[in-house]
Amino acid sequence: MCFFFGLLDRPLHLAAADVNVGLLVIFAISSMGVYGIVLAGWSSNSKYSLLGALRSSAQMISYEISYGLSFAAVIMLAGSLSLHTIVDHQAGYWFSVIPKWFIFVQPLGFFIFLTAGVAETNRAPFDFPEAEQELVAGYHTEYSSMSFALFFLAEYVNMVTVSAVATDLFLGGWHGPFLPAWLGWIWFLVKVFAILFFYIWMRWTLPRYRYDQLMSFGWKWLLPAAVINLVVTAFVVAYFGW
Amino acid sequence: MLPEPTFNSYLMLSAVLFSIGTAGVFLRRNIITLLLSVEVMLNAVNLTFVAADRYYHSVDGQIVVFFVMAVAAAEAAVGLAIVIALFRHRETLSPDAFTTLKW
Amino acid sequence: MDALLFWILAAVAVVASLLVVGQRNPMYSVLLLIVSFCALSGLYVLLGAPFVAAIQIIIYAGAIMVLFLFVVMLLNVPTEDPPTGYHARLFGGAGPRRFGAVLALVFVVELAWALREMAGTTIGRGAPSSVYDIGVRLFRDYGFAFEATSLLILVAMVGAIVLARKEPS
Repeated sequence: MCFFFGLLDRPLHLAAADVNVGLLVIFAISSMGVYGIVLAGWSSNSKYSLLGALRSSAQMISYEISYGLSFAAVIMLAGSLSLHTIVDHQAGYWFSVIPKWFIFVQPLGFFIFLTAGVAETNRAPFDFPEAEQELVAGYHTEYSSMSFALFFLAEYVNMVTVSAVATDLFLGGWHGPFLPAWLGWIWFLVKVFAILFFYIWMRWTLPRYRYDQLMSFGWKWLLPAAVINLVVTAFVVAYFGW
Repeated sequence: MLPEPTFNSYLMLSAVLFSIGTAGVFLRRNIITLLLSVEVMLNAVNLTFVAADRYYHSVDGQIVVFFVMAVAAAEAAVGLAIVIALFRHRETLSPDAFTTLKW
Repeated sequence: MDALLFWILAAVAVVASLLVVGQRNPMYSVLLLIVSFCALSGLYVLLGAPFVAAIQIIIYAGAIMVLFLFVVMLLNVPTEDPPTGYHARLFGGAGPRRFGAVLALVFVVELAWALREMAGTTIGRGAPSSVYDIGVRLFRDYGFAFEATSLLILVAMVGAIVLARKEPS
C-alpha cells in the first residue's frame, strides 16, 4: 500500500512500487492464496482436512467473481488500475462536508467487496474451511506448533491486506479531514484498523452459515448484485460522466 | 554472458512448450492430464502472440490472448464436467475406458 | 539482467511443462502446471505486457487451476497405472499415440530449422503497453468477438451444470 509515513517532519513515500496494473497484481497475488489451504488440506491425508480444502477451493472461486466485479466498478469511476490514482480521485469534499470517498458513491460495491473479502479470507461467518464444530479444525487439523502458526499468520495478514485494499478503494486511502497531508498515514492506519475491528466484531456477533447457504448466497444474491452494480455504474459513467 | 533473447528465442520457447503439450495429449492415458496438456499448448500459443505484439508494437496479440483465456476457461469448465460425469459411470479416467458412444 | 531472467524463466517453464506431462499423479501435474504458468507470467512482464501477466495469474493460476485441483481432489483421482506390454515401448501403443509423439518431435525440428532463417532479429523495447490501449481496442474493434465470448461462457456454464448434475432419481 502506498501512504506517506511522516518520519520526523520529512514525508517518506512508502509505496514499494506504483505499477500501472497495481490492482490486478493485488488481485492476482491474493487469488494464489487458496493454494496454501488446499494443499495443506489435501496433503494431511485426513477426511476433515480434505473437506476443508474442498470447501475452501469452491468458496474462493465463487466469491472471487463478486470480489473482482466490485473492484471493476471502482476502476470505472477512477479510470485507472493504479492504487495511487484511485486514492487521489477520492481527495476533496462534496459541499465541503462529505468526503469524496467511493463508499458514498458505491455503497453496494463496498458491501459486496467486504462480504466477498470476508469469504476470501475465511473469516467468520464464512469460515467453512476450518469450521470447528463440523470439521475439527478443517484444513489445519493435522498441523501444530510453527506450521499452525504460519497458517494463522497468513490468515491475519490476508485480513490486513483486504482491509488496506478496502481503505484504498472505498475509504479514501490517506485522505481525511483535520490532519495535514504529511500525516496521512495516520488516517490510513485508522481506517485499516476500523475495518479490522469490523472483522472481529462480526466474528463474535454472527453465527456461521450453512455451506449450501454460503453457495446460494454467493451465486444467487451477491453475484447478481455485483453485476447490477457494475452495469449501473458503467451506465452512469458513460452517460452522465464522472 | 547469456545471449540476449530475440524474437526467435520466444518463438522457439513457444514451439518447445507446444510440442511438450502435443506429446502429452498423445502419450498420457489420464483425461485430466490430457486437459492439462491442452492448457500447456494454449499457453505456448499465448506466448507467441504476446512476443509478436512486442515485435510488431501492437496490442492485438494481447487481445487474442484474452480471448484464448476465455475459451480456455470455458473448455476447462465443460471438460471437467464431462470428466466428472464419466468418472461416475466408469470409476476410471483412462480414455481407453470410454470407447462406447452410448451406454 | 533481462537476458538472465529470460533464460531462467524459460528453463522453469520448459522443465515444469515436461514434468506436467511426465507425472503419473495428476495432483503433481496440476501443481507443476501452476509453476509453468507463473514462469510464463514473468515472461509476459519481460515482454512489456503487465496486463496479460496479471490476468494470466488471475485466470489461469487463480481460477482454472483451482477448478482442476478441485476436481482432482473431489474424484480422488487414482494415479495412472504404469503402462504395460505394448504400451510400455517408447513410441509404442496405438497408431495415434505413436504418430503424436513423432509429430511433436517433428514440430520442434521443423520450427528450429525455419526459425534459423530469421535469427538475430531483436525484440522491440519500450514502455509496457497500457491497459487503456488494450481496452479501447478490445471494446471498439473486437466488440463483436467480445460479445461472442460472453455467449460462449454462458453456454459453457449451462453445459457444465447440465453435464455434471446428478440425474434426479
